[in-house]
Amino acid sequence: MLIHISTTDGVPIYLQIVNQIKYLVAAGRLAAGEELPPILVLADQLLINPNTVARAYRELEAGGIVEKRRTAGTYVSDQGSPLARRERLKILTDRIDALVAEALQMKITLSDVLKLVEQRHAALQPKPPLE
Amino acid sequence: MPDPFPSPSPPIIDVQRVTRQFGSKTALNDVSLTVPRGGVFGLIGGNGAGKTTLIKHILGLLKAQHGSVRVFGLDPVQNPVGTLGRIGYLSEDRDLPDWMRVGQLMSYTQAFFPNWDEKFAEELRDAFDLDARAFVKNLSRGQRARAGLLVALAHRPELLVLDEPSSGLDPVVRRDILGAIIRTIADEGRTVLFSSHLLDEVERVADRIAIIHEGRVLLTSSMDEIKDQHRRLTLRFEQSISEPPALVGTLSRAGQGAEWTYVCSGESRQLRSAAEALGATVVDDAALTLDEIFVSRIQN
Amino acid sequence: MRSIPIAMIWELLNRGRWQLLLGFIGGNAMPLLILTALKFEGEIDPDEPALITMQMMLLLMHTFIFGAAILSAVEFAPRAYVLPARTSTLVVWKMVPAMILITLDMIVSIGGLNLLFGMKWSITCAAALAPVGMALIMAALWFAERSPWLPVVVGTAGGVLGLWYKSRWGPMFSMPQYAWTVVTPADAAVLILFTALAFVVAVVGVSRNRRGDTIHNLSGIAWADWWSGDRAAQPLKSFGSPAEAQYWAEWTTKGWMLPFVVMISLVVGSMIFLPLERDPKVIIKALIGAGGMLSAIGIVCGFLAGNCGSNDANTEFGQFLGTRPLTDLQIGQTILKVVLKSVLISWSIWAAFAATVLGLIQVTVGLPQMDPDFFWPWWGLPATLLGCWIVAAGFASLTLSGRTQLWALVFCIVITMMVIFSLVSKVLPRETQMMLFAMVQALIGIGLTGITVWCLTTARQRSLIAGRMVLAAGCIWLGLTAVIIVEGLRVSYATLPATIFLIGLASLTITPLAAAPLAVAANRHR
Repeated sequence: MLIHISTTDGVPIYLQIVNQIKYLVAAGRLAAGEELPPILVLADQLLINPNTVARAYRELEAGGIVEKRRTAGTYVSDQGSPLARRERLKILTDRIDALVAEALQMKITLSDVLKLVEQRHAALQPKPPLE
Repeated sequence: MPDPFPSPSPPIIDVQRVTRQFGSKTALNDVSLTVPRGGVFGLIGGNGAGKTTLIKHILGLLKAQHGSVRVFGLDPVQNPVGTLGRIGYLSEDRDLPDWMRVGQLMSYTQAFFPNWDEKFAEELRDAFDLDARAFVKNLSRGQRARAGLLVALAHRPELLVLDEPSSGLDPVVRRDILGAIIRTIADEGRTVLFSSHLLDEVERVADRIAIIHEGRVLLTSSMDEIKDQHRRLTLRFEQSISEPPALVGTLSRAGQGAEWTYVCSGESRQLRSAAEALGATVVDDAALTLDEIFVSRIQN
Repeated sequence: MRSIPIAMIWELLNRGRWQLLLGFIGGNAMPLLILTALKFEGEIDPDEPALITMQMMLLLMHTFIFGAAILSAVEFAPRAYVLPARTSTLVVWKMVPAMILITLDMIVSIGGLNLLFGMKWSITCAAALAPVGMALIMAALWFAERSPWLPVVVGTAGGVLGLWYKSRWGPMFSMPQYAWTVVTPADAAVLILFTALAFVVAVVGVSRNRRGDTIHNLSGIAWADWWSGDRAAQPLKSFGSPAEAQYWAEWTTKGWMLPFVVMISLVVGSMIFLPLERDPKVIIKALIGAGGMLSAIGIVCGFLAGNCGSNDANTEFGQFLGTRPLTDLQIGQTILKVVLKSVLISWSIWAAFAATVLGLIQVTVGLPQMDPDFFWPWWGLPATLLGCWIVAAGFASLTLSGRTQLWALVFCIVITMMVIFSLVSKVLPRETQMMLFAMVQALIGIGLTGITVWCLTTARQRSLIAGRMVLAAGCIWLGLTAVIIVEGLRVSYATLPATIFLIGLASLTITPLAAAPLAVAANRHR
């Protein structure tokens, strides 16, 4: 699992782990039921304090992204649950906030922004094969 | 992984109001420090701030002129065997007997610590790529640090004390050292105390930190708390001002024109309302790296 | 700094302030001591043969001690290599100030001694020899820098010059017969040759160091290294206890030095001395003298054993040793054990050697009848052993304390007393001198006793010595005191002040048992 920790922008390390795991889950790179690395293994790999990893896992568990099973180990929880969907919406909301704020700064109207979103969405659709 | 704080067991290191003078220079001024059992404690400060002096007090190499020092509840000066026998120490200048071979150093050190794990020592030696027949004086700086780390770790000490462990070392050796710190506290009940001025490393592994500056402790807190409390607010004023107003709870300010950045500690909400009262808008609210926190604390 | 020469000279004087002062005091200590003692017995006859030998030895010792002091101040640190100067310039301007310094020292010291004691020692000869010796040793040191071959190279250089020097005093391989008073043109030529040789060797050596090569690149030496080092894949020992491990470490680094030096000196000395000196009486006296020298070499052994610092120059407790889980008492005891074993082995070597030589004399020509003024009582033999122990263990304790001020204090006290004595002996009449001498003897005896008692009580208070050890020490001292008193009653020349002095001196046998742990505690926990 590729997680990258940076100490240069001030964001707390546990938060970086939380955000990156949330993103991986939302992007489908961490499937439901997949096991996360044990705390010590991840701490060793990233060279950070195991308590930080533990805190990140706790936050993810509170947010419903992962669940702890009694046989040991932490697993990605089923994404169909309303909690998980809420998390995914939250990620998108953050991105939209940034987009809207910037559009306001640059004095681009809301209708222009929405038109742009539709254009880009169309461009990302898979194209039909040429005959 | 159990949460180490609040820790129910007595603190491993308890320094109370220690003052130390060398001639006319005051190296430590009324310093108090408590290191709880378990976890990693980072001691940060500039060169000459007093970190090594404090560590020497903990090891019993310096007697407290005023105040008291207790390690494992014992006085390290009166009881060197009871304290030093449970401590693994790596000094800043990697003081090792130059004339010994690495293998001899290992068997020599083994005699002092009943908890020495031979198999573990061999694993470390292999992992660190140290030739048992090489003379310590012929080792490169990085290898020397690794050798010192080996003999400090092999007896699985309750307390690992590292004085500037990464200074002058290449990134590969630094990874070894950080890895060693992490694996040490993975064992229940073991504690690490290390001093460093490489703050990104401290940020990665420390649970609690203390900032020392010119012989005084400026701040002691857990890493989470210190990161939560310090934030950088960017305020945009209605017009350009040359001298920004000082706001309560700020440590420093910088900027130009209409945008000014404040580093503040404590509740950022108060700051926001104060800022709005002055007619400024908060355009950015960011977290700070430990480096930036340290610098603004020192400059204050 | 205006120029390189001035910078170098300033560096030497500045760095070496204290060393030079100590070297001056130390170098003159022995001559002052001996001459004062002689002066006390009457005016000194400069032509007496024993005095000639002594003059030669004293000159050598003085050169050695002051030279060592200068060497500790002159240092070819790697930062000197990057100065924008040619190697020959650097070498010249490090050598020349040192040579001038030692010449000046010779002139002042010998002139002073001549004045104080009415001697006629030659200043020119000493002033001619000393700088050449300095240059040769410096060259040898730089040539073999940081290599185990250092002692060999330095020894060769010193040995060659030493033999030539000896030949100025009479036939090269026998006792000195006349003082060297005149530097002939032939002498001057040889000295200049030696200096030039020293300069060339120094430049070669420093150039090599500047390039980063070491002497080990010379093929012969490289082979010798391989032969002695690489084969030793020493099996890993396992130790029974921390104290045992520490004892192994201390013995390996420090313990073998004294026996080794004694052995080498005896071998070399006998090779030079014995084949050509035929008079058994002189040989016996030389053997006894060698036994006395054991005590003198004990100073160096003590200093080496007591040095717990991280390098040779620094006696402050090193962090590695300081953080061993050992009590101060254990560390002190370990060091004393090393000193004891060292002293015992060295003394045994000397005793065995002396016995062998005496046996050889007995079977070849028979033991001679010694002169009536030959003084060798029954306690002479144990005295050499005790003397060596007292000096070695005492100086080890001094060094363990890590305060060089203590050393300086001891030296200064001794020197001051010498000087006062020699002045007094010129001024006061004989009876007053005798009274003063007696008083001083008694005072020293009482003082030494007081020091011993203080050490024992303080160490006991701080639990730095076991109760049983104090008891045993007390018994030893009482035993020695009893022997001194009984012997004193038996012979005619014993006086009360002398007895008090000897009892005080005897107490120094047991002082280290308490002083060493006290010193460790003071050094380790500052």
